[in-house]
Amino acid sequence: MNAVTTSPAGAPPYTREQDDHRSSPRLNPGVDFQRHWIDDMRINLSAVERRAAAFNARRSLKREWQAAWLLKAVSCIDLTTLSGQDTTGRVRRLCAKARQPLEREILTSLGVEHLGITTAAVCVYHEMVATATAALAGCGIPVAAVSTGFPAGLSPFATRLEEIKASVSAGAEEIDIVIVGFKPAGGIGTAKDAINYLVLIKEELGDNWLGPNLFRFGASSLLADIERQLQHHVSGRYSAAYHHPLA
Amino acid sequence: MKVAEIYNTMSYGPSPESSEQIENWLRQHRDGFQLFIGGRWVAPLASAHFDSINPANGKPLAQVAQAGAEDIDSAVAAARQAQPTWAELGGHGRARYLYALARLVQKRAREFAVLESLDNGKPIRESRDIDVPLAIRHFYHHAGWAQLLETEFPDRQPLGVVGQIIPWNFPLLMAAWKIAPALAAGNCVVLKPAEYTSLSALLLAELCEEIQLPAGVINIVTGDGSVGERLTAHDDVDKIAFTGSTDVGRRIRIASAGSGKKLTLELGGKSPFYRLRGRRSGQCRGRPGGRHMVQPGAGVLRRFEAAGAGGHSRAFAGQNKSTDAETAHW
Repeated sequence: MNAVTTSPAGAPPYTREQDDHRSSPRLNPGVDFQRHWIDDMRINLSAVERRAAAFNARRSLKREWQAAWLLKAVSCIDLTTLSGQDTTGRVRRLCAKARQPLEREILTSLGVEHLGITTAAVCVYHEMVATATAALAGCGIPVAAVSTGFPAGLSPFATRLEEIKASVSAGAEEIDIVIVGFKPAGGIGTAKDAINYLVLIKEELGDNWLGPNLFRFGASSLLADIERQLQHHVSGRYSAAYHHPLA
Repeated sequence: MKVAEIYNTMSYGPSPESSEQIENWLRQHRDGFQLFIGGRWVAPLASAHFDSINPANGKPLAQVAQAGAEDIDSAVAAARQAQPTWAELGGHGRARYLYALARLVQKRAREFAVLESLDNGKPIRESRDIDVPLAIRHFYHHAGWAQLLETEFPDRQPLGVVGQIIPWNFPLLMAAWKIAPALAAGNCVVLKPAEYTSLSALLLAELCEEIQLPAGVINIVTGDGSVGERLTAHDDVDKIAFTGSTDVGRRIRIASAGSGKKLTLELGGKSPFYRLRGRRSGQCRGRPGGRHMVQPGAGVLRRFEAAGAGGHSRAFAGQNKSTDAETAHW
């Protein structure tokens, strides 16, 4: 899934130095449609697939490196619930997990409490924006809303605009829409997947992209697996799936 | 390194490959390697040895035998003696040995990669991910062809004894390229590795012993250019296969002219690398003793640069976004 997180109109322009996603909202200034970008494009699919597969086989991320990269993955997660059965209780639980995504013991053992790691955002339907905004009040984690006729974006344009306005006034700081960029989402459930994506980003786009301002995972179960891997890193043992607080 | 620090730098971790097994192997041979002739290890008649240097630190890794004229004669004789039986074994019979060799190289791939990096100076990423896997695939591939030989090429006959002279840039891989097809077709070989990088061929010879390859099918004679000259001029060699410099290739062509020998030459030094302006010089860092040659396909890579860090060459796609360039870089 290709998506980019944009900010409501009127926000200051985004700058690359702006690493902290909690700073003021940014606007992607965008560019005019450039037909020749597409016309000139040649992709050797087999080579791309081979290259992508080779990255993960060749990069060494063990022990402390694995732990650090998994923490980075946590910081890039849009902790997401997009279900017709969402309840305010579930959204509040999700927000609590976003504030404290990892058990304190794990953070202490890794020596990273001072990094203040949270997920990048909480991502919900418009209906839950107000609930999420209230639950996240004061902690700086933005609420992202999929307020453009998610998932297909096929509702009338005017309806989508109204939906965005409604979500913004309900407190959403980010609107998730499908344009370009890179946001792997759907089916990313394991820590291994997350690291593979981070390696891909580092290799193809560079270190500047390895942060929540330019790269996000849309996921919920991913966090649970990362937490289990980190638990294993600090204790040498895997915890049961039910051991950690639910996302 | 601390987790918090890595979190901020997002660096990769170290990926050390243990050289313990190979160091043990080299210790077992601290009195010098011998020549592999007729399925046995024999000392060179002149008892001459020379150092194989680790280009990373300039220190000797091992003592390699310098074959003399009589050693080469006996290697060619051993190959000649073994060849009829090897050919009569048939494609399927020969394939069994080639498969066995492929499997054993595969089993000990990491050892080969470490040895190749120590001896040649190339990065472990290249030896581990390119040289050794490709060498293994060549043995498997030609084992398959050996099985098909009688049905697909019913009119072909083995040549007999093949003298093979290979360079230092991909030592094991070059050996595989030369040995596997020759053996599959029913020939026996006398292989001369480059004097800088003989060790992986010698380890391969030990594997030949382990799979009980019939004596004389593969013979390894190490030494300097005089070994190649002698092999080229030998009356009882039916074919010379050479990969290396254009100059030496010309000399081999002249030496073998009129002798009736078949000849395959794969000559290098024809493919210059260009370095684009504006690249960081760190990408072109060289190292004394780093030896490497990579040939870009002529006319395919128009603008690119090569980085020769410790024998590590890499073609970067230049301003022309050539897909071929991107797929060619490692």
